[in-house]
Amino acid sequence: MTARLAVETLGLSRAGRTVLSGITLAVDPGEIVCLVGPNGAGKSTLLAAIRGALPASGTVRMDGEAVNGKRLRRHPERLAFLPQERIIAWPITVEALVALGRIANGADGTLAGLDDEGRGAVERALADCALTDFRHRLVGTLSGGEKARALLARALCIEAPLLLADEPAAGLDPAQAARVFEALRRRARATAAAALVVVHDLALAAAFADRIAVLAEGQLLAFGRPETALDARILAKAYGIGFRQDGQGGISPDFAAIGGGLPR
Amino acid sequence: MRLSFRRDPLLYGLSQILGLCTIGALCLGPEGFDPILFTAAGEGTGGAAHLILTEVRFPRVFLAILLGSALGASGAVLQGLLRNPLADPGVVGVTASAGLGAVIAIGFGAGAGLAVPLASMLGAGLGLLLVFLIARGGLNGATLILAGIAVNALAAAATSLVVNVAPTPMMLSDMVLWLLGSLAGTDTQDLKMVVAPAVIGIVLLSFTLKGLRALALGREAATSLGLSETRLTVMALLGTALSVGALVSVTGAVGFVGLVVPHLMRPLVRHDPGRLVQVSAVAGSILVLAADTMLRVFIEGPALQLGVVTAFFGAPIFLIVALRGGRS
Repeated sequence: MTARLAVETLGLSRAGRTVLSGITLAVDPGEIVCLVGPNGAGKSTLLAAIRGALPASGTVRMDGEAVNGKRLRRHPERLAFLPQERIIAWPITVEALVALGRIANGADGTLAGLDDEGRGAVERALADCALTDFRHRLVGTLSGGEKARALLARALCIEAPLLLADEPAAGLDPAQAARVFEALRRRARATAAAALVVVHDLALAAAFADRIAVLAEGQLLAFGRPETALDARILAKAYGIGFRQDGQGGISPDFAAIGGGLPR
Repeated sequence: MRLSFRRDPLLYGLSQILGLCTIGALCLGPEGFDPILFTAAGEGTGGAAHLILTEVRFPRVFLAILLGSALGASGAVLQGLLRNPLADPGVVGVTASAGLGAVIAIGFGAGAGLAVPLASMLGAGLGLLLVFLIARGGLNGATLILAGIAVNALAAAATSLVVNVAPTPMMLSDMVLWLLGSLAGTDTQDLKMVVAPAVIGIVLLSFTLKGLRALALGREAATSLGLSETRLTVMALLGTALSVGALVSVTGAVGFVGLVVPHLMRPLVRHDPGRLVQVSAVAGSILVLAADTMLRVFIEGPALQLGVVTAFFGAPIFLIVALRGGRS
């Protein structure tokens, strides 16, 4: 099977400092890969390099074809990106917000300007994100979780074969976070779309990822099934604090053992 | 401009009002209502009524429509692009540098004819170039506003200097009147000269609608939708400089329309910055045309300048909008 996204020996330097080096990972059709690692590890930078927003060495392939920023800018419908910042600088209804995603497919960004395919895509995105009942609500009146799902629906509405999402569940309670990932998984399973998702919550990653990549200081420490990648030793190396395995596949930071002080 | 009349009742209604205003403006003269449209049609080319209609009234009405449309559209585009509700064509320095060009030309003795408009268009172009130079490398909201303030300050300083050293009282009065802005005395010659850049500018502004909508999601998301912020900015600035720069070159600086009209229309439009541009273009035309026609018909004695009237009405309206916005 050709990987939907294949990143080969990707490296990136900024201002003479190596930010990423030798990153090799792949996301298969229908698969959710979670990217975990400490703040400043280079997770968001890796997403930027993949979508060609930052110049990087190495190769990025989509469905076997080498792509770069220029090519992706010309074909924004091939890759959907959900930034971490939840910006909506305009009082807008949920369905109008979702319809903005169709700009990537050549629509004019209005609901009225959508063709049948576009309208169908908006409906599917609303349904997958459990927002059909909220469609006429102004985004400003939504709760944090609903707003996060609305922005996810905006990205899903493109129906791109690949989605890059930067902490789509940041700041959400566990139930709301699970709803966001449930929407992602529903879409990935139904359409063979692939997703590479930056996430901080290791329990979420363990629950929803097909594979996990652990990134620290610009290098991949592990890439594989959750049970192998989320290893206490690997995570301890990545985060610099101890982790505890609970024997049933769960893993969590050993805050109690930190005691006197953290490594700086 | 891709006008979506059929699916937009607001735009449709405003266009109807503009149509009625246009007919009304053409039929109103110094003596009040005069059915010159019909007289002119009756007597054919060469008649006095026909002459008044084509040489005097039509150019002035058409210029008012173009000016209002350019000011309204560019105000809405710049407010969306800079994500700043205080933005208007004046903010990026276009109006001030056009004014500088005009007063310099008047100072060198250029009276009637093409010299003043050409100098003023040149001024607008150079002002824009300077904005690009200052903001180069970072064509985003903050740097653009800074660049605009710098160009405005520079143009204002130079304009004061030129006005200060004006050789004759006559020139001084010409300069001040130009700076106040008026459609009085515009003729077919003026219209012919500015219609092409004005229309091209407005068309350029109309290409920004999709980008403005995408920009509501922030720069990163907008870029991922295929939008180039640089292209959008260039289009917005070039469109503003061409349309507003060309029009104020013959009408003088008419303020507040670009700032106030988008604010008045925003509550009616709500969720679409692209639609705001279309609606503001039509509403701006109505406002300028109505204001100018009332000046032309009802004010006797020393002519009140259009720019004074728009400022006089614009400022309190803006105050009300600001007060209401501050409370909610």
